[in-house]
Amino acid sequence: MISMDKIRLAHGSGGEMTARLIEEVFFSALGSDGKNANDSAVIDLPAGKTAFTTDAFVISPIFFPGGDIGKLAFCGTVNDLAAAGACPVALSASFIIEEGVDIAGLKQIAQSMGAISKETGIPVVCGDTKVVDKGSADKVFISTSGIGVIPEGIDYHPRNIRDGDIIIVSGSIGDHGYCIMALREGIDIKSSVISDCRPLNELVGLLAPLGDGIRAVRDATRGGLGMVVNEWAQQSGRGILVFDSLIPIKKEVKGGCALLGLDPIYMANEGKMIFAVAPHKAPEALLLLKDHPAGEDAAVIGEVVGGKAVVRVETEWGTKRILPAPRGEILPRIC
Amino acid sequence: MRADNPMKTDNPSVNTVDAHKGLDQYFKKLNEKLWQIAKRPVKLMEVCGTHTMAIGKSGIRSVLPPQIELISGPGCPVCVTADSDIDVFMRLARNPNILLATYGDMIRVPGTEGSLAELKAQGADIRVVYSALEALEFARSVKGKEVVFLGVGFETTAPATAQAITIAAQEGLANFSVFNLHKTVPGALKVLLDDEAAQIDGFILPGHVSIIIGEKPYRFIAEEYGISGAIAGFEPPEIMAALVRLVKDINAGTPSISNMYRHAVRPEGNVVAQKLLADTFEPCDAEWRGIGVIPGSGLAFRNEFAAFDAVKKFNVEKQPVKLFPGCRCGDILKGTIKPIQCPLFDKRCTPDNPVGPCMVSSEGTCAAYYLYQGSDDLDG
Repeated sequence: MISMDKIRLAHGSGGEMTARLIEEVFFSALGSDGKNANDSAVIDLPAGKTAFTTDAFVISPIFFPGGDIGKLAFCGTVNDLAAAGACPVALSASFIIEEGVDIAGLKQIAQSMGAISKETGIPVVCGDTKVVDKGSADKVFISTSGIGVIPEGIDYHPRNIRDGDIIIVSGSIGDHGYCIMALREGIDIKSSVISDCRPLNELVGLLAPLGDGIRAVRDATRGGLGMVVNEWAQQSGRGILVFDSLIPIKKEVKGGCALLGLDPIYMANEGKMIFAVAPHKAPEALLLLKDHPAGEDAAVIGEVVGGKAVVRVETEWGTKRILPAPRGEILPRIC
Repeated sequence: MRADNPMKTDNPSVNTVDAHKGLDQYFKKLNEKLWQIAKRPVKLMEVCGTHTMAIGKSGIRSVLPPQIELISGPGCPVCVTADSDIDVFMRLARNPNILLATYGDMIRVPGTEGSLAELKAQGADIRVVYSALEALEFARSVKGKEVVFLGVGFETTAPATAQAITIAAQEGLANFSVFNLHKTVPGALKVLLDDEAAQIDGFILPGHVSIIIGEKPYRFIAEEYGISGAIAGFEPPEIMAALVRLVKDINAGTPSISNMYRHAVRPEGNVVAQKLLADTFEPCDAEWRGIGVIPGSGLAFRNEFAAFDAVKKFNVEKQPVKLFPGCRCGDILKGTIKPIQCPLFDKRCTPDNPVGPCMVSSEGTCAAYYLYQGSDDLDG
C-alpha cells in the first residue's frame, strides 16, 4: 500500500514511489499486470489506413455529474478516432499530477478510465505520469493519444460534402458544457442535465455500411455545433442552412444558458456527433442512429444549400440570419 | 432594397413547430401588420444592448419592410465606458494587494494600456463575477486583500451594487470597495434627441432598465421632443410589437410612451429598488465614451458610503486619454453612423482584436454587426 494519501513530488521521481503509484493506481485500474511493460507498446494493426490522434484534458472541476476527467479523456480520444471513421485499436494516457492531489481521487479517475476501456474493449496500452509542484497544475491534467484503423471505402473528410446533403446531430446539444458551467457557477443542477460524456465509436460504426453516403463526421466538442457547421462550410466551400427549432436542446440547458448569457449552439459536447449525409441515405442513417442508445434523440437539423460558404440559420421565428463561428473565450476549460 | 415581405409565403417553414405555442404566428402577424402600415422611411433606435443582440440574433432585420431602419444606441454599459475609466481600473488591477472583481465583458476591453485579460495573464488577481454579491463574498473570504468591484451598468445592475455596499456597511467590511461607473439611461436619451445628426423617429426603450425606473422618466421624450418610445421585452414578438406601435404613433402624429412589456414593467417601476438606489447614490456627471460628459447621468455614492468608493480609497485619478485614431465609437453610439461606416470596422477592429468596447462587448453594436451583418443579404 502507498503510505501517503496525497501525491508528493517523490511520486514523480521515477524511483520506487513512482513504480508503486503506477502499479497500485494505474495498472490495476487499467487492467494491466505490468509484466509486459516496456518503453513502447507494440501493436498489431489490421490492414487499412491508420488514424492517429492526440488530445489534452485540463477540465475543472475534474469530477462532474456523468463522468470525470479520466472518462472524458478516454471518450474524447475514442470519439476523435470515430469521427475519422476509424475503429479504435489502442490508446495512451499521460498524467500530469499536481503535488498534494488525493491519491483516492486519482484512483477513481484511473478506475473510471479502466471501466470504459473494459466496456469498449479498447485498451490503454502505454502511459506516463509526472508530478509537478503545487500550483504548477490544477490537480490533474491528462494527455491521451489514440490509434485506429479506417476500413476500406470510409472517408469522412468535409471535402466530400455536396449540395443537398443533410445535416444530422446524434442527440441533444450543450449538455456537457452546461453541466460544467453550472457547476462552476454554483447553479443547482438537480435536474436531468448530466454530462453526455460517452464513447461514440459504436454509434459511428453503425453507419459504415452506408459507405460514401456518409460524407463527413465530426464530434462537436469545444465550440459546439456552431463551430462544426462553420468549419464544414469553410472546408467544403458550400453554404449550410440550419433550422433552429429542429436542434435538440434540453429545456433545462436552454433555460440555464439563457441565465448565464450563453448559447447552447456553441457549448461543448462530449457525446454528440454531427453527420453530413447524402440525401438518399439520410432516412436510413437517422433510423440506424435512433436505434442506438447514444443516438436515440438524433435529429435532422439542416442541409447543405450551396452558395456562399457561410452558415445561415432559419430562426424559430421564420427569419434568417448568419450563424457565426464562435469567437474568443466562451467557456474556459470545459473539455 | 427588397420590395416583398419575405415572411409572406405559402411554403410552410420547417421550424414553425409548436415550440413557441403560437408565438411564431403572432410574430408573423405583427410583421404583416408592419408591412401594411409602414408608409414612409423611419429611423428607430434601440437604446439597449440586449435589444441590439436580440435583433441581430433573431434576424428581425431580414423581414422588416424597407422603410424601417433599425439603428443601435448607446445602451451597452461596456461600450459607454470611457477610456480614461478603463485606464483607472487597469491601474487598480496592477496593485498586488487588490483582487479586482468584474463582469466578464470588461475583461477584454482595451484601454490605452492594454486590457484586464492581458494583466490577468501576467498574474494580476482578476475574477469574473455574475453579481456584485459574489464580489462581496470574495471580500469576506479572501484575507489580507482588498476586493474592488467594477460597478458598471445602468439602472439594472446598480441596485445590486447598492445592495452589496449596504451589506458591506452593515458588516463593517473594511476590505471591500467599488469603482463606481454606474450610469442612468434617460440623460443619454436627451443627448441623442438634442443631436441633430441622429434624427431619430422613435425609441425602442430598454425592458430591463424600465423594470426598475418605470415609465415616468421617459415621458419627456414625447412631451418635450414629440418623439415616441415603446418599452419592449427581448423576445422577437415583443420587439415586433414595439415596432408596430411606434410606426402607428408616427403615422398618426401622436407621440407617446407605450409600455409593451407590461407583464414585467409596472408603470411606477420597482419602488424598492428605486429607494435602494436613492439611499445609496446621488446623481453626478458621468463621462460616456465617445459622447462626453452627460450632466447628472452618473451615480455617485452618498457621503455615508464614501469609505466604499475605490477612487477615494486608493486615491486614483483619471487622466485624459487620446482615442485610437479613426475610432468612431462615439458616432456609432449616437446612431449617426453604422458600424460598417467606421474606417476601422472589420479591418483594424474585430472581435478577436477589438479597438473599442463596441466591438468587445457581447451587447456591443459593432460586435452585433460583425457577427450578423451578412444576415441582411441572405439570399444574395
